[in-house]
Amino acid sequence: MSPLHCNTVQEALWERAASAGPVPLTPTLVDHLSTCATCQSERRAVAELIEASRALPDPGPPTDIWDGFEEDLWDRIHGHPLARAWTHWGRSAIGLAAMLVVGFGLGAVAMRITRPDSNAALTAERQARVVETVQAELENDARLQSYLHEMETILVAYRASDHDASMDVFRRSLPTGMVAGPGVPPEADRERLERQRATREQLRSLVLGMMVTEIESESHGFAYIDRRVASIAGQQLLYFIH
Amino acid sequence: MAEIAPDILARAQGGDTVAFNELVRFYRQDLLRVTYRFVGNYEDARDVLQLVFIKVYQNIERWEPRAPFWSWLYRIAVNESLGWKKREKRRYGVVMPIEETPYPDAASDSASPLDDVAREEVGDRLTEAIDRLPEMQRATFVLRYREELSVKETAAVLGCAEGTVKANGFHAIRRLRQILRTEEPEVIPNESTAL
Repeated sequence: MSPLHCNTVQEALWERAASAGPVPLTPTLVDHLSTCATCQSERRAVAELIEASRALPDPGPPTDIWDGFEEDLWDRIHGHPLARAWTHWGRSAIGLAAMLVVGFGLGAVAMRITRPDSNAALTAERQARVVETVQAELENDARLQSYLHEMETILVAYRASDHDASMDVFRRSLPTGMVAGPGVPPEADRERLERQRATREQLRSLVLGMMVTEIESESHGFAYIDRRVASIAGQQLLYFIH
Repeated sequence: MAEIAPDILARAQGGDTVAFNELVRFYRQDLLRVTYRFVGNYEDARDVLQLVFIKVYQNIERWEPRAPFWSWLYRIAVNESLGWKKREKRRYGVVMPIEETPYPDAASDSASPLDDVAREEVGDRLTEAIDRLPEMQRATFVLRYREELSVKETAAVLGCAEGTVKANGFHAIRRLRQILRTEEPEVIPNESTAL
């Protein structure tokens, strides 16, 4: 009997069955299989399992299965709440709403970091160092530039979208006390928007800082940063609403 | 895997309903077989197939030719079938049984009626065991060993790496062996019965 344990051999047999093509058995496995009745049995069983799966019966569909199939399909398509004509508009609306929600979240993050305790955590000196490092490291990184541009666009969009009629739909859906875009905001909201604008640059620094941290630790890619920013934005959005 | 003519596909993507009907007729047989293999009876398989084509209709303009069109369709069919199974489980607490069917091909080769019965039992037990696999293992196993897709094709359908397909295949086989060995020793003989 070879020194290989039966579990190892059986795992190799399962792996072999799951592989892309016929994989030759190694001499050690062949040696073990030639002397171990248990593993020989397992080898047969795996082969039978695969064979039985391939041979599972398929009686074929009833002859009338396609009767009225297309008619039913079109009825369902036209009656479906996500019919194509709707989805085109719907997707745009959902996309716009999602962008704005993320925007609010990021805005909220910006507001939080302007508070004295946050400022203490992220000193001006640290920010400057961080931004300098990232810009030196990633000066030509298209992904970073695109990310920052997108983030700023979302924030700036509050103002730019002031005269966009489609924004009215969104404004009406906002919880009481929130405002999308300046419009004619009440005093408190105007103040809030001013704070958002004033802290946009700080938000930019914060994201840059997060990127530097990730780059320094070299443990995650940008995808992780995106998720973390989204997560923070989501949490802050809840705080912002309440 | 057969692919529909590119011009028909392009027209269907542009919203041409005649072309979309052609596309439905071209792929429906293959996709029905896939949905049947997941849901276990043709009535529900037809229903799931309708959901598949609704989804295709809604999203066809977003398909990009980075992967074969058929693999995109298969992916939708697999997802819809798994979704249907999940809803059935939630609704009824159990999976609907596979329909009782004759074995047209196997029966003609078998030596005796007893063989037919034995094969039918093996088929039922194996089908039930496959049904008990976790979703991704079940999808991998069905595509690899029932649809007989290659590892590469299965990866394209499931939208994962080939290594993931191999790993899921490995776990599926291991789990099936465990299920069949402990519960149905006569299906796949284990060492104690074989020796």
